This record gives sequence, C-alpha cells and structure tokens, in this order.
Amino acid sequence: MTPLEAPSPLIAALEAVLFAAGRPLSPDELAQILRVDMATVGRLVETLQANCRQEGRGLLVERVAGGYQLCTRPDLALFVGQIGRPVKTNGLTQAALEVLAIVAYRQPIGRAEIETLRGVRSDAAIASLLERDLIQETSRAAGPGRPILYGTTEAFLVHFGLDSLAELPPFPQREKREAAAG
Amino acid sequence: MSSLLVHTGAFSGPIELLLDMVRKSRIDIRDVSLAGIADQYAARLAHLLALDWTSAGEGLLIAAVLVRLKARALLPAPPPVPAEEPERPEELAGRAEAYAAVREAGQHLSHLLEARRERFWREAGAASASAPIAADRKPLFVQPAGKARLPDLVGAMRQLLQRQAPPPLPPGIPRRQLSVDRRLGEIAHRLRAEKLLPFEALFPALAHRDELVVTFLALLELVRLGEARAEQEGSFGPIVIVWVNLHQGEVAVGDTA
Repeated sequence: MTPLEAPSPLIAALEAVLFAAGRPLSPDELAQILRVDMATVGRLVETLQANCRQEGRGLLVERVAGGYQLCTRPDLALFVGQIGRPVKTNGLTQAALEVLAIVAYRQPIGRAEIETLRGVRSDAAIASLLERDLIQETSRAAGPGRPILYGTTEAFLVHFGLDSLAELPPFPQREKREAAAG
Repeated sequence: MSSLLVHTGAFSGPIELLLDMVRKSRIDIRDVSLAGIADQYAARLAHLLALDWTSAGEGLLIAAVLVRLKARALLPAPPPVPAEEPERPEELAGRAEAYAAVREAGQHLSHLLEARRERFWREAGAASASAPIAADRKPLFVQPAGKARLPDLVGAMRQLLQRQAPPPLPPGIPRRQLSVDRRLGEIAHRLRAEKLLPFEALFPALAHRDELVVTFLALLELVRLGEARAEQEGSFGPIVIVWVNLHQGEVAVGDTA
C-alpha cells in the first residue's frame, strides 16, 4: 500500500476543493491549488474515485469539460432528484436542441446559417440557449454587418457530460442513416 | 366617417368619399390637388386631434392612399421584378437531408441529456439542482464591456424585485396613479442633470412593486427612443444608465469602462 491509499490530507483536500468549487477543476488548477505535480493530481483523483466506490459513498468524481467534479451517484436519483431539477437543461424544446446541435457541431456559426440549415427562424431558440448559458457569442464574422457567431459554453459540456467537443457523437452521415433505415 | 372635409376643384366633401370616387374612376386623381388637401388637413389637424384621434388617423391614412394612387398614375411603371427561380429538386433534396441530419444530431444530444438526468452536481454558489433561476444568479453569458443587453437588464430587474419587499400600504390610503410617461419624464430629468446613474439608483428605495415595474418600463422606453443607453462593464459589472444628448451628440462621460 502506498502512502496515498491511506487516508491522506491531500485526498481530503482534493475532495473539499472539488465540493466547494462548483465547477469542474482542470488538472492544472488542481496541481496549483494542492501544490503538487500533475502526476500526483492523477493519482489523487484515482484514489478518491476508488475510495468513493469502495466505501459505497453517495458521490462520484467524474471527468467532464476538461476537469474533475463531484457528482451524485446515478442510482440515488430517487432521493437527490427531490431537491430539484437542473434548470439549464430542463424543458429544452425540440427547436432548441436542433439549434444547439448545429452550434455544437458547426461552431463558430452565425444565426443566418443556423436558420438556413433548419429552414425556419431561430431567434427564440438562440435567445433561450443564450439565457441558459449553453451557447455564447464567440466572435463576429468578417464581411458586411459583421454578424455574431455562436459557440457552446463550458456549461454545455458539463450538462451533456462531455470532456470536450471531441466526445460529441459523430455527426449523422447520409450513408449511416440510409443503412439504419434499410 | 371622419370629420375631414376637403375642397378641391374637382371635389368637395368628406375625404373617404373622395377616395371612393377615385377608386371607382369617377374622378381622375390627376385632377385632384393633393397639395391642397394636405394643406387643409394640416390646418384642421389641431382641431381634429382635440375632437377625435381616430378620425384624425383615418383622415391621414386616406390622404396617404391618395398620394400613392396619384404617384402611380403620374410615374412610369417600375420594371417587373424577375420571379425567384423555383428551387431545383436536387437543391431541395440536399436541404431536406441536411435538416434530417440536424434533427438526428438533436436526438443524439437529447440522449446525452437523458444519461445525465440522474446525476446532480453543484454549481458555483448553489446546488445546480435546487437553485431557481432568479436566486443567486450567474451572469447570463460572457460579453465584452459595452452595451448592456436586454437579458442583463431583465436579470438586474429580477434581482431588484426580489430584494425589494413592497411595504404594506396603510389601509384607506388610495394608491398614487402610476404613469409610465410621467416616470419617463422624471427619469429623463434626473439623467439630464446627472448624465449617468447606476441602474439601481433609478428605483425608489421603498417602492411598491408597481412603481418598480413602471420605472423599468419607462427606462426601457428611454433606451428604445435612444435618449439613454444602458452600459455594463463586462459580464459581472454593474449596469449604468447613460444620458444620450440627442441634439449635441453624445455626452462625454468621465471614466467609461
């Protein structure tokens, strides 16, 4: 048994910091806060994860949005769900999901292109997603009018459980869809 | 029937009747002096407004229609606009397919969401699962310093409404009549004097909720008219309302963000 597997002040510190942070903390940030090197951060996280599992605790350490955060065990949703529902993704309409998908896969992208892809006006969906902090204005396109371009936010990654945009499922391709339909 | 009677060489009577006769080709619009009608309308306007807004509006509308008819009669017809080519089938199919892919991508996201439904985590300041959207709000989105946008104003207003508990009115005291126009005048007056005010300063301290709402509406109207500007120093910054002197260009403010 290495010293790190015994109850260690650093493990406790990691747990406390993750709890208090209220957002995913990257390995860099953790290294800085805990004053250890990156390799140690990795080991500490693994140990904390293992401890949570083995001791049957109610929390997990998950990797999301390029960092780590504490979250509740899914099988306890019956209890935790009574506290409330996440506001950001509750009641997302079909339209909002489509716009979000377009932005997620094609960012940065402006309103005009979004509307062309969907074939309908998308102001309301865009406004709703901005309000929920799932998309953000990232820049402006060159050219007349300098239209605003949108991209996804860190909150998007957290709420959809992605470590990075690379983890998005592959964008539907025609061949695949035809194969699925056939 | 409006009370606007017009008199021209070819016609004397209510303006609606004039329009009717022009439309039925009983009077040639080119024989009607619209300048004369416009003058008569302007001369009668003060009187009309005192009597009956609706008629004044209708009279103006009819005069405008007459002007358009005359313009058409006098000016050569504009060249016909070439009709938009109907989309070729391949283009339509391409777009339909692109949209189908978008819908499916949306479904993928929906599945990702479902997988997350049973996990809960804390968000800065409050458990993400419990905070109603107004309490302990995070800023809506990252933006550079500059114009405060409507969501920011609405958010600031929500916080203000939450903080201010309306004091109960003593029984028997009638509520003051609230008017957006009057409040607008009051705010404009203050802004003209002070040039710049923090958002919260516009709202009276122990105001009833109705007063807060009327003040907010008056502020929005001022911004819409371009007489004031709402600015915010970055995402988390306080909102300030800046007076815009429409007649002499913008007022220079001391320390802008």
